[in-house]
Amino acid sequence: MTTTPEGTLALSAQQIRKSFGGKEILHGISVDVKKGEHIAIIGPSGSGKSTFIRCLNLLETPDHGTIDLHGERVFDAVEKTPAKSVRALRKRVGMVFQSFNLFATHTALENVSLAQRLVLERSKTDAVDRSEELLERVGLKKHMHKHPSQLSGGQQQRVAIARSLALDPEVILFDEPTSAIDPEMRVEVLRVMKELAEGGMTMMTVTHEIEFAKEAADRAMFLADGELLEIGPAAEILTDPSNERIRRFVNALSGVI
Amino acid sequence: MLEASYVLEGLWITLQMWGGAFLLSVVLAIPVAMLRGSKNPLAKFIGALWAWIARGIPPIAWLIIIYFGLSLGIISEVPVLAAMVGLGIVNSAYIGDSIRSGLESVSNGQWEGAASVALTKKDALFRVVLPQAIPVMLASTAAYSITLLKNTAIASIIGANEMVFYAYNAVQVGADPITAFLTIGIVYLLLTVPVGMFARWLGSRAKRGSERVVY
Repeated sequence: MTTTPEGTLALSAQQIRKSFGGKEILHGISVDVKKGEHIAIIGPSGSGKSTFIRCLNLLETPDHGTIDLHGERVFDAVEKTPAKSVRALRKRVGMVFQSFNLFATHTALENVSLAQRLVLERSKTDAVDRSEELLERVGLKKHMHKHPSQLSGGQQQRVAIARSLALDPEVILFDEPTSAIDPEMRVEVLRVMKELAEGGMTMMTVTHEIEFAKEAADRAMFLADGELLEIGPAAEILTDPSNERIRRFVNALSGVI
Repeated sequence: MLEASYVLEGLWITLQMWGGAFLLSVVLAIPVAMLRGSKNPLAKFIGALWAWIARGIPPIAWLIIIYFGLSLGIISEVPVLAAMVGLGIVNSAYIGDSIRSGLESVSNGQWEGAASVALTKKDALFRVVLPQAIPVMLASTAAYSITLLKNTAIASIIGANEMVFYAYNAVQVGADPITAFLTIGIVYLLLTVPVGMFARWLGSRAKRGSERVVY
């Protein structure tokens, strides 16, 4: 465990680079996330924010760079990471997708239970108890026997959050969690995320919801063209950006002409 | 006159060839689908080559090649077995496609969702992807099975005593060709009915089964 004066680093990613088909999308991005911190990742389409967050739980394998969790090296691009270590990392770093990706043939309860049974090897009763508790927390206990197709986008995303929480991760990554949801349904997802952040969960969120980021994130990082343009206190960076590029982007998202 | 007892005898052989060829084709189709879906270019090539040869040569040619090949070599006088092997090879290419397209019908997001909660590839396949892919696979497999059933008629050429063989023999000794072939035609037609029902039943069962994965 590495302890810094300001607190423990939950996640540290250094010099993450990623290319697709010979074109480099990420040009060496680094970030240190403190335990309990919530970092919003902001930036225009094609800036590499989704690729970056997907690198952090190895849904994409970085071509270069390292990832540490609580001071422990869990990924180094110079070595091949065995499938077992990849799974060990994913157990510790949860992911919530833009398109939910709930298991279509499983009910909400089964979606939350499956990995508890298979990965944590919890007993059926324990897994069900924990799943019910988590679904209660995201306000969906009464829908627990429904299939994803019977739930709204906002409800599906809350099940996905519960599914991710079921492994007791150290960090949860959110990749545009509200982009595929109707505006009036977004608020319920954002509320759950805000509660999680306030409850001390370490989180990283790719989002276009500037107001949410200002309110619920501690820091914001702004990516453009695969580079980290700026990182700092969310409210500061997003309220009155000193960087012209960020100012234009934030204004455009807020509808200011 | 085509005697009922001959129709039944022929039906029994037809069913044997149909079942045997189907089972063999499924056994062969799994590696074919794996090879074709592989990222390794050599494996992909071998899979594609198999499908091309299996499908490109007419079933009748397969049966004759295998029948005379087997007779000259290992076993002799086994038209039913030769037909099973030949039709099994041909059908394996189609079932391989059906497995592949079933798997491809499941969105990549399902694999990613499974990966994100640290499931192994095997668990992701069996617990998440296959329950969705199997109903899709079964629909096309049922269609191919009906083609396979009708292809068993070709085995009469190499002397398998299935339905067409008896009908043809009856016509040779004076039976009315229209009546004889219409009779066995109706038997083939009736056989296709349960296939459709079976596929639908399996499909609903696969779906229910997947819902019971955890409990």
